[in-house]
Amino acid sequence: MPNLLLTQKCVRSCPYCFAKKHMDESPPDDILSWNNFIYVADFIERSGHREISFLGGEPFLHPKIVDFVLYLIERDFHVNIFTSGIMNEIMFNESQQYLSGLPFEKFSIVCNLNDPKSLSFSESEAVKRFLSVFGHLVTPGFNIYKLGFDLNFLVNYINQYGMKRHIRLGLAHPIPGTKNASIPKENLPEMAKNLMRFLPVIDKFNISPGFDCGFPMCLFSNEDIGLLYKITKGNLRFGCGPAIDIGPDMKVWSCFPLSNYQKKSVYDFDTYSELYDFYMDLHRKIRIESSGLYLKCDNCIDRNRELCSGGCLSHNLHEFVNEPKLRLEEVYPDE
Amino acid sequence: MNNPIIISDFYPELLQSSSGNAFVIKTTNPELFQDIYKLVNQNNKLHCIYFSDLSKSLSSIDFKPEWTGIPISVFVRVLGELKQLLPKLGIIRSLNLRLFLPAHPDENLTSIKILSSLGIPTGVFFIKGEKINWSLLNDLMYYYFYTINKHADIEPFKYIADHYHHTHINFNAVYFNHPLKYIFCNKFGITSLTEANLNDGKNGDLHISELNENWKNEKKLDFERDLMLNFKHLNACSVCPGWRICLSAFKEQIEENPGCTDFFTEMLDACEFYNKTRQNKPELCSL
Repeated sequence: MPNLLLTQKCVRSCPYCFAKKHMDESPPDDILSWNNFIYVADFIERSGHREISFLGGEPFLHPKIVDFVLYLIERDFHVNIFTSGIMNEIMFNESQQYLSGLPFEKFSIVCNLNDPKSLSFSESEAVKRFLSVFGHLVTPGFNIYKLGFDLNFLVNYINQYGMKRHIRLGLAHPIPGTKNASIPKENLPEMAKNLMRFLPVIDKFNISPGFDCGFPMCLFSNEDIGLLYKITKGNLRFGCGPAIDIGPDMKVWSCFPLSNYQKKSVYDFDTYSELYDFYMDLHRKIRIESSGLYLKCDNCIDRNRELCSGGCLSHNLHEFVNEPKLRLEEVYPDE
Repeated sequence: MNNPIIISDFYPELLQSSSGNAFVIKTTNPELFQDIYKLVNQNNKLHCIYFSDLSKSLSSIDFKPEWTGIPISVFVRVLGELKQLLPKLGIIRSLNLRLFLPAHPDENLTSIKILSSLGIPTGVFFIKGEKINWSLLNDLMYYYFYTINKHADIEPFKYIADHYHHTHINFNAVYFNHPLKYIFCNKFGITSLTEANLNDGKNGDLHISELNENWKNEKKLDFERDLMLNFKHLNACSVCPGWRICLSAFKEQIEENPGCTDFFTEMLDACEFYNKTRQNKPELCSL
C-alpha cells in the first residue's frame, strides 16, 4: 500500500521521528494539491491497486483531508490514515461529522501513540478526545526507540476506547546522515527480551502484536517465535522492503530512512508496479553491499530462506555515509 | 423537418400553441422541471432544460429522483462543498444531467476534473469579461484526452473531438448557441439568431410557425460570410491554426491574456489523437 504525504509539517516532535530529516529539508507549507492527488489516485488505480495510506507530517493538518478521504472512498479505494490524533477543533469536528461513521472496510486509522508520561497535558487530552470518537476505527501504533519502553498503556487504551485489538509495533531506525533516537543494533537483543515480557499481558487481553518492517528474526529465540506465531495467528513478518512514499511535490522514495536515496518523481513511472520494482531493485543492490544488520546475516540460513530480510537497511547506510565512496553507488545518498 | 431547435424561457401559452418543434427551455427554478417536461412533450419535444443560476453552487442544489429522464444542463457558479455533494452522486448519476461550471475562478477547473474522475459528465463554460487561466484549462484538456483511467465526458472537449474533421466547428452548440442549430424565441413566438437581438426587439426574424426547411440553407450562407469577415484584417486570430475550433471566441481578451492560441493549437493535436484512438478500437457488428 503506497503512502501519500499530505503535508510536510507535524504537530509533534517525536525524538525517533524517521520523517524528521525529510521534513526539515522540505518547505513547511508544501501540501498536496487536488490535481496531484487525482493524478496519484489514477496512477495507483491503473496498476489495479485500491489502497492508499495518508501520511505526513500530520495528515490532519491538510485542510482538505476529509474531502480526500470521501473522494477516494467514492472511487472504491480503501483509505488508511497514519496520525497522531492531535488536531485543531475545526478539523476534529469536521472529521467527526464525516469520517467517524465510515465502515472499517473502507476507512481505517493507525494512531501513533507515545507513552502518556512523555506527553504534555494538551497533547494527552487531544489524543484521548480523538480516540473517544474514532477508537473503533483505530489500530494503535507504537515506535520502540529506547530500551525502557512500556506497552501497558496501550492495553488500557485499547480496552478504554474500543480500538482494534492489534498493536502495530515499529522499530525506530537511524536515519542516514541525521541523529534521531533509535536503539543501537548491539542493544536490539535486549529490546527483544523487554518486548517478550509484555507478550503474556497482551495475549491475556486477546491483543495481537504486529511487526512493522526492520525487525531481525535472530533477536528472538525459537520459543519466542513460536509464541509470537501463535499470538499473531501466523501473521508474523521479519521483512524490510520498499514502503513507497509519495510527497506532495510528487517526489517518490522507497521509505523514510531511504528518502535521500534515488529520489524520483511519480511522473518517471507509468505504473505503480514499475515504481515498486524500481525500489525493490534498489534494496537488492544495497543488500549486495550489506546483507543485514549483522555480519552473520551474510550466511544466515533464515535470510537465505527469505524468512528474514536482515533488519532495516538504514543501520548500515548510516555507517556508509561517513566512509570513502568505494562501494556500489546505490548505497550513497543522492548528491 | 430541418427546423432549428428553439430556445426560450418557460412560456406555457407559447408551448401549447406550438407543435412539432424541439425546445430548449431556460429556467432558474428547479421546481418547474417536471412541469416543463410534461408540457413541452405534449405537442413538441423537450431537447433540454437549461437551468442557470450563477448565485448557486452545485452542492446546494436539491437533486430529485423525480427528474429521472429529463435532460437537464445545469450552469452554476462553483461546485461548493464536495463533502455535501458526494452523498448526492448516486442520484446525480441516475439523472440525465450535464453539470457546467465557469472557467473562472481557477478552482472550478479542478472541480470539473474531480467530477469527471467520479464519472459525472461535466463541462466548462466561459463568461464574457472573465479572465481564463489557460494553463489550468490546458491541464484539464490534457486530463480529458490523455488520461487512461475511466472518466466522464467534459464539454466542450467532447463536442470538439467528435465534430472536428479539419474544418471549422462551433463548440458553442454545447451551450445551445449555434446559429445553424438553435434559434432564440420570445413569448410572442418571434425568433432571432441571438438572444441579445431578441431582447432588444431588434432584427426580429420569423415566427416559429413560419420556420421551414429552407431556414438552414438561408442561414448557412450568412453564417459562412460572417466567419470570413474574421480574415478581413491581419490579426492574431486570422493567422492562428486554432481558429477553426474557437472561431475568435476569445478575441477580446487575446491582448491582455494571450494563451488561447497555444491552447487551441494543442487541442488540434488532442483531437487527432482522439480520432486515431477511436479508429483503433474494434467496432461491434450490428446484428
